[in-house]
Amino acid sequence: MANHKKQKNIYTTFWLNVVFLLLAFAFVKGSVLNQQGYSWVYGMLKGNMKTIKQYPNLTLPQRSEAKMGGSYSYYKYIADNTPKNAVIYIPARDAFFPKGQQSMFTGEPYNKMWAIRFLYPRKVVVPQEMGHSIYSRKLTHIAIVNGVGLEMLSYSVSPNFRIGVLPINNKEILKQTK
Amino acid sequence: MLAIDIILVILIGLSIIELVCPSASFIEKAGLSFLTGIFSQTILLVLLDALNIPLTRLPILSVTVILWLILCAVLYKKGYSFKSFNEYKNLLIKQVCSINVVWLAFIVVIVYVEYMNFSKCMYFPTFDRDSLAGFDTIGYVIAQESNIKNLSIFDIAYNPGIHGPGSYISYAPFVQLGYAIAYIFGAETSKIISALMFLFFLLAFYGILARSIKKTGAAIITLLVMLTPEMLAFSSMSATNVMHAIFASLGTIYGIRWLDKGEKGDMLISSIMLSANAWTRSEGVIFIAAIGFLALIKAVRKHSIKQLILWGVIAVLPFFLWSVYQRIFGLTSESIMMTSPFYDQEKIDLIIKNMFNHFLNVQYYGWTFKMLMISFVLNIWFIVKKKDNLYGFFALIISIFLYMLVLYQIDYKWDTINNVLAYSAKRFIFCFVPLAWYYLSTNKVISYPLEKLEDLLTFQIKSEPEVFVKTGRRR
Repeated sequence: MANHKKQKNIYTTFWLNVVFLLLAFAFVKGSVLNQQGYSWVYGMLKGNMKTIKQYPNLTLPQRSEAKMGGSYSYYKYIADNTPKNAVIYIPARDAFFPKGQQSMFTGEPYNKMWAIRFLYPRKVVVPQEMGHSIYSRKLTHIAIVNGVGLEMLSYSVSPNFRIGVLPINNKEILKQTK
Repeated sequence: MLAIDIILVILIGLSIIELVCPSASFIEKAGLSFLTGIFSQTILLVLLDALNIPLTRLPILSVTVILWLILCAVLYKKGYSFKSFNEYKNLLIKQVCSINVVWLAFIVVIVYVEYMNFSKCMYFPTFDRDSLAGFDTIGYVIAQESNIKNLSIFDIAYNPGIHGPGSYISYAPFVQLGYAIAYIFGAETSKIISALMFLFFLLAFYGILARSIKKTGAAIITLLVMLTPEMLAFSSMSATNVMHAIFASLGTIYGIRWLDKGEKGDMLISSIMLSANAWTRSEGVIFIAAIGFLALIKAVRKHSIKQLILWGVIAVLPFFLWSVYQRIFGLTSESIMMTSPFYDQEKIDLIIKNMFNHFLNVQYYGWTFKMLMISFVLNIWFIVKKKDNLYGFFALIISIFLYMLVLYQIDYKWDTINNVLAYSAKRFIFCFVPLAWYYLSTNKVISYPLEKLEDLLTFQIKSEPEVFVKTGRRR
């Protein structure tokens, strides 16, 4: 009799589990994932997983480029082409994001701390620091962005030079060639 | 090396939690271990730096090991011993016997979503603005220059605006030091810290909730907390807000439990988590103030102030130490807080309007605050008649009020109030998400059906562990 009661109890619990499992499934699938916010975040995670599975072997620079686009590639280019003790002038926001034009940059490449993250140990000087920071008198390189910065060089460069990094004067060029 | 440090961090955290709250469940201890451990290690970094010891691998590992050995010695002196194999076996049998399919299904979904979130966090490097223009870069430079106080980026000759209003030089140190640890031990990016913080938070939150409303309800609520859209999206980034929300909410939840049940262990965990919260973001002091205020009322009514003093000292000490350290080494910036009282109706209206628009935004927080309202309204009878969950209610209300007060007292010199309220304030609200779900689910009107559901779904198989231990076989 006792065994029979116990068996019945287990059966009831089993069926209750099945019923509530179906309800839970309906709740998550039909209700939670149908809500705009939850469905957005879940879809985003699924999308990211798809990317991860599609490109599992990307290196960190490749993943950084995928996320930050031109800003990362540009600073990587500068880091690869300047000495570690360089003092680099970075132009203002408008150079990176000219009004009314599409830009290859994303994020805040004009922000000093942002730039330091990719250019360290090189020193970074931004326009509002000119004359206020001792490093503004020790500039070795100018980051040229959409042609902005060419005017700071002590030698002439073709106006077609739109993007890159150049030594501030000829002496620096000689130093680098040595 | 990074793996060794993470293991040490977890061991330190486990030892501290075992010491302060032996009655916590295994899952709570596991969850709180990394959170407490990494918080402790960042304090060690500041102490090392104050003593002019370089922040390199050897000194950090050495002091961490020493701290762990001290904790082990204290545990040994207190009579702590590892459970026997049979005890573990019985615990496992008991757990397996109490499993139900609904709980299992929710756990599978939580694990799957967290797997995706963890993978996303680790795959993509740091790219968010606040981290690259602050926390991650500071952490990276600390790792390169092996110190905090004499960083090149903190030098006024290099950074003329470094002491300006709201400058990153005066930020609370947890996040940047956490990232510095990752870089010092050789990580390519600092994302492991954000990833582990969220993972261990889920364990801790589930653990504390399972202690309050049983495990099936805990699994359902943990999934809903986890899926909070804006918070989940930010949990895999490097900004401070989710990490702050983790400490602030857990500290407040344990504080509520302490006030409700009076257990010393909950009090100590609350004070540790709340001190970590102020160590992560300075405005976190409002959560200390909220729980402190409620604890003070209780202490006055019960004529017992001893626990409150201990709680307060632990909660405030690291924040106080950091303030002293900043003063001594000049890591200060022009204050953005207006200390004198003033009245500006327009500003009040603007803050209230924006904050409530955020709270009601289901795109950001899913059902969180709507469910909170429903649960509150349904529970009014229990609140009035049985004084149900009053500490939870007041902790939530007071901390929201204080947060809005902080926003009111800020002098918006570095950005406009409209920008802060529109873009940053939505992230400040993360702190209230786990807190809201904890409160609404521990209300009698929700917790009772959830507990009944658990009873209905649990198979009535008795494991009788005590008999098993004594005789070695089943009766």
